[in-house]
Amino acid sequence: MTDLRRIAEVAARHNLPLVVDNTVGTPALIRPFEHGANIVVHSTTKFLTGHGSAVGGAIIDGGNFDWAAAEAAGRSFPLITQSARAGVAPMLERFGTGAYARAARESVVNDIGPTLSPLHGFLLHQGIETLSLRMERHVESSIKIARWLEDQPEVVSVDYAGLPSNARYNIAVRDYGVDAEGYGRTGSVFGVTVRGGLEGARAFVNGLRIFSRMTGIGDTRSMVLHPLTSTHSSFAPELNDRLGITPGLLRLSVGLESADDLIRDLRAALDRVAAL
Amino acid sequence: MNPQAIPSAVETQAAPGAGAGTAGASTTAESTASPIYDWQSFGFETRQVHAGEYPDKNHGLRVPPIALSAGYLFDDFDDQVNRFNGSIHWRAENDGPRGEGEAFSPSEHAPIYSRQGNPSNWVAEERLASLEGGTVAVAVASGQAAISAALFTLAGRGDHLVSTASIYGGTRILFGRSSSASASMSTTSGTRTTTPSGSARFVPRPKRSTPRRCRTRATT
Repeated sequence: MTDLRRIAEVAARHNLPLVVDNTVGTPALIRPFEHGANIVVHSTTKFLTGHGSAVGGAIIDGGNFDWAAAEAAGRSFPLITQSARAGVAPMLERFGTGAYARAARESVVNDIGPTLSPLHGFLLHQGIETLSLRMERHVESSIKIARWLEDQPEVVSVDYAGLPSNARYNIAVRDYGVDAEGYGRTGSVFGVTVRGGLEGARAFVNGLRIFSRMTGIGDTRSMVLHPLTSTHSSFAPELNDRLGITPGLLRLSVGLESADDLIRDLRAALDRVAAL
Repeated sequence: MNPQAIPSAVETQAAPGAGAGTAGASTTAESTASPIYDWQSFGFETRQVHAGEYPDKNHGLRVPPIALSAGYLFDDFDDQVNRFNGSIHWRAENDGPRGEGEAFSPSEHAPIYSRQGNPSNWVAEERLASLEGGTVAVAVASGQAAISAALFTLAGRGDHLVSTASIYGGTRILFGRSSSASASMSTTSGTRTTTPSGSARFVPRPKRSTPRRCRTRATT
């Protein structure tokens, strides 16, 4: 849970554009431009496409950064403010509030070539058609599950920012709003730490049947992953300590299955932790 | 065949509460309400369904087709010249994908090659830009491609990136491994703190680095 507004203050003071990754939030829950971001990026593979079917990404220009003023203050953005060749005006002059996106497309995406397949583009724009509906369900189920997990004896802690017990609850509520009972609507990807460290995590993960053991988030299907031995396996131990990536930590991505079924699945997995 | 040309007695009245988007709606019995191309005044749920769509002038396809074409035909010699020198956005003012005389979106440009732009991706780009409240979006192959392209448009050799500490693992790897090896950019990650007066200050984490490779390591 990042305090976007504070960071945006710092960036603005230093005439620097702020890039925010809104993959986990999605515009259905939060729109970073409203909090001071200048550029938003996405892994469209996740909630936007929504069905786990197509890898993709996106860059969105907020059209709200003053590139010329930043350069006057000492920064340098040649791809946006300088002419690429004789006779062609700079992007800023030709495309105004879309200049950054145009520079990204023509200078970088064109040259390096990370092209999105039109098949994936189709799956992306079709997936987005149901974004708000899906996010609504993802959040509703996640709040129910996070609250339930906090009560389980085999659970050491739950890291869901929308729970009042979370250190960032106030920021969560300010930026994401609350449901009817006052829980912050902070998405559907969160951490749960089980007893027993690595062995507890192993027993838990092996005991799940509806949750899929895989990398990925933001799918109709619920997923579980052990960060320490996967996404964070290449990081130094001191860094993982600082980030709170511990042996008993699991990352859950709650899907669209019935919340009661998911709770039963989690309870069966926790039974295995209890049996250790 | 233009599906909008078929008059319907049902569609002659603008829906109540539709806001500015109904400009151009007709209430006479003879004509059909004009199609909507600019969805900006409509709600989030409406825009997630419609923003970026364009009418198919060939068969009236309701859903935009999957544009499986790597290349695009040029009208003539001058058309090719103009597309490559960037002097035009679309082939002709009256022949854009949104119908006669309609303005084209900032995402659209006279296409040259699907590496830089493709109609299926334009729909997604416009839809996303609309939902995020941005101006223009660019679709790429993956989230990692989005982050790297976004940053390489801003920074290059010798530049410095500043990041929060709690970032996606893939982002951290990109900063630590790829950008330092290929583009000689250095990064600092840290957490924000608030001074007693309440303003925000960025506190960089000290890092140990050898001169040519920068890797952030926690020291406290």
